[in-house]
Amino acid sequence: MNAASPSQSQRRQTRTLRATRFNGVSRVGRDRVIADLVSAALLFAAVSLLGLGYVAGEGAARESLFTTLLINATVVVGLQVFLGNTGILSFGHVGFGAVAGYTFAILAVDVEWKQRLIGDAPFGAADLSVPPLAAITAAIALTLVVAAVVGLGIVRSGAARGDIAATVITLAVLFAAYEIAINWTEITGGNRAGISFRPGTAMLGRSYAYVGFALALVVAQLYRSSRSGRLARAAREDDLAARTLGINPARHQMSALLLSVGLVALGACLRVWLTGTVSPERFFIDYTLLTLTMLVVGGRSSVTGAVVGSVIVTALVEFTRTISGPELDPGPFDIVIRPGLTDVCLGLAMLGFMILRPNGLLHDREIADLPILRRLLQRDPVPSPFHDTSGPRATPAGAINDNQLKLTDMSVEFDGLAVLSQAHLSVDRGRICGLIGPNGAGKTTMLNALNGIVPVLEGRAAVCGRALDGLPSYKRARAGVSRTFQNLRLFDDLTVRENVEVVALAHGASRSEARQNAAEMIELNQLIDVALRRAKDLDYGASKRLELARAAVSQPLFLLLDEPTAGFTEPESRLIVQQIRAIAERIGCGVVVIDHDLAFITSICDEVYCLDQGSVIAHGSVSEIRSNPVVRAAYTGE
Amino acid sequence: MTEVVQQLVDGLGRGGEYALIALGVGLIFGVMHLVNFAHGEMITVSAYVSYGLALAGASWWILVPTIVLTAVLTSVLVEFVAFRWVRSSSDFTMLLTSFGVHFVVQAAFVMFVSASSRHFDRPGWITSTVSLAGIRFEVVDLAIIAATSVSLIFAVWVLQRTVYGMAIRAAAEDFDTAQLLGIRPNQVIRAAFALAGLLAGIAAVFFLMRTGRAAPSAGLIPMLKGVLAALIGGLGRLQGAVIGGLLLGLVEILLVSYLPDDIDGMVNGIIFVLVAVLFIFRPSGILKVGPAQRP
Repeated sequence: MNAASPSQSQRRQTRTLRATRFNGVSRVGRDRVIADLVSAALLFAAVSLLGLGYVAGEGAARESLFTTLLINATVVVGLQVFLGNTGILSFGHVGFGAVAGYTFAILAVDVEWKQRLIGDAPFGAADLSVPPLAAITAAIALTLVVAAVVGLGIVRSGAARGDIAATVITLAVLFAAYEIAINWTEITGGNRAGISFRPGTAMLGRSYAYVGFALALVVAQLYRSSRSGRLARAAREDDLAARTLGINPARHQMSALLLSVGLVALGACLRVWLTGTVSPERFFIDYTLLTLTMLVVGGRSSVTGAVVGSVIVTALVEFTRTISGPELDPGPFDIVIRPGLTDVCLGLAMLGFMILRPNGLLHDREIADLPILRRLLQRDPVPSPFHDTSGPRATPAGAINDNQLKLTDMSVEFDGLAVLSQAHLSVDRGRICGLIGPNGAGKTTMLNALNGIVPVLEGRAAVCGRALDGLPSYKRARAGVSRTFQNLRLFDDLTVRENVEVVALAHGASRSEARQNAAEMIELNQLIDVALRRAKDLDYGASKRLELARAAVSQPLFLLLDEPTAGFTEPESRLIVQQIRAIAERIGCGVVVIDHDLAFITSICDEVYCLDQGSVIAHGSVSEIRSNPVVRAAYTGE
Repeated sequence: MTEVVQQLVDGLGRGGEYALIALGVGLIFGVMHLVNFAHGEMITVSAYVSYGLALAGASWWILVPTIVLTAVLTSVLVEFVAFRWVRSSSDFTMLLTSFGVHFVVQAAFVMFVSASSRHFDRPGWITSTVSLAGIRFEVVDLAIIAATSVSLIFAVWVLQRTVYGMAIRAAAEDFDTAQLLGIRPNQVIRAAFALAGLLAGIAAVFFLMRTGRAAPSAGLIPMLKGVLAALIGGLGRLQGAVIGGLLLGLVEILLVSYLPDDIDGMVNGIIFVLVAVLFIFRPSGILKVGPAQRP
């Protein structure tokens, strides 16, 4: 009976949680969607007006330049969705663009013309022709399938260790696409010829470019403030902290990748359709340089930035192209005004921005962040003090068999060196348990093992009867274990409020719940004054309090605190004691706290475990531990 | 049997070049956590310098030391102009900075020389072969293997036994602490770039002897191979870079010999895909995975 009931009760609780979540769109959510759409519309209007003004009565050359801008901006906004939200540098998007561009051309060119270009094409491609829109749809679909396969590799390596392996995988995409395009001549037309449309059948008019651009803006804006987008950005800032707080980076990186590649594929098809030709060089390093420069000039963390960067870089390229064209006499400037100038300028722009302004012109500011629009759209109002008179919260979702956090026979080795051997721990909910011991005793490793961020040799971990063994970190966090770190691991580039809100979102709270819970924790930890500041701009004390707020907002069953008073003066430590007590009481959780400050441990803990050389050497109430001779020996070397 | 040995030597020769580049990539990653995508520019710049000198009639006796010296100077110069200013930035920023350097150098050669490649005479003995125990070897392969071995031993000696080497290793372990203990960051980083430039310069000598060609993107492919090799061996592990380089060279030679002719041109793409697949299963390279970092 016990085996069946937990999962049933869990399911019931999840259902009620869902029901409340979908009981009408929350106000915060609806306002957000409106703000995003307004943002996208404003950007679209601004670029369109700019273009109309520029083109007006000046002829076809300007019109074609503006259409190119719209299409490039579509690609760059697509890039922004992935690079901006996940922080992973990708050189492969242009490679995905090549897949889409070729697929589109192969499908859309009319049969008779195709017979002359690639008459031997396999899969009957030479005898098939579909309308352009159907070809675009098919091209995007095929590219997404490729991206999903490649994405498995990217998110695996991106999540496991830095971004560099992920970046190399994206380079592989670029090179593989290029070499396939050159060598698989039967279907791609090879290096020289490529595939061209029959003269006169390329895209006429700009309407599709407008549609593509508008679509890209809407998708990028909606994703940016979606749950997935926000969680992806949290993981971008600190992968490990994100995972231990219940965020699954791989999932959100994958979502971002697919949306992003979809938009890039759309842009690539339009580019092929507009110019009427596709060849390997058109989707290789030069276009990668161009689009990446556009993105970093404007600011990769902002959709508005992507658009602004596209406009500025297009103007720059057009300017250098005009002055270094063959028809003009450069006079005394012929040293620099010559072919190649454009690429030098692009390279210098990228280099200059990376060195002087790595976040681009706009960093993460959007058009809706303009003060006047912010007021109109009521975006991110300054948080007000939160007044909640309700008592301790109800038990969060999860199968409750007992009320204990339990670690048994836990052993961890690093390179054959035993760091934790047969350690055990059991803490009741509602109690505060100290973990002491000399440096290197294995205290932090114990928390890491519990979090699943170090490989465990043997041993079991369970929270309230639910086994954690073998679960990934983020699932353990969702099972009710949340933590802080010895050295701060905040989501540096996000604001204080976002830091707290994303964790609530990761645990399934609706937008308004997340906002409310975050407000509560922000108030409880005296962070109201700095709620809209970026985490990296906080002083040390506020950073520590923010970590506490962030860990507690998920209403965990157990809160793991790694040296919460490190670097604090005594009065500050006393304040932290009160705060931890208040939080534990409010959410009704158990606390495991590591600290070296014995006065702090004494004042806050109900019981204490003492570790030495990876083993628990003593366990008991504070007074028992104080008088324990083994503990004294370990600490003072007596 | 004969064929296998020949290919092994061929692969080791090719792999030796990659190992030299990869070692430099690994060194620089160690001291400043930068994967240097501009590592090939030393080869590009050296190529054009060689071209200029060869036009003026210089022999390879002059070219060889010039190439090495040019590579060292280019490496140090690039650090001074670009990387010094992004030292503590995010990986994203540093990666794109190195790509920016690559593009600027490449485009500058397009602008001031030409987009098409320039050729100069290769040394006369480059295609000659010798017969040892009934097996024919290309002289250049043997020369590379010898030069690589000597350079690697030299690099290990510098890193293990000299003050600068120890400072570099200390900084590679923990830059902040090394700095606090009195190691001067600018000097250490410059030394690392100089050593990396030296190794790349030696690789460049053989690369240019083989190709006899200066092109704006001459350094791109060798650089990418070096980065791949360093990643295969596990970034920041110096012995890993060497193993990765040799392995990559062998795989490449095998692919070139045994792939059907119609996809012969896709060797680089195939190598990239193979490495990408490797990363899916072993994101930190083929060597034993170390302990997870302490959070």
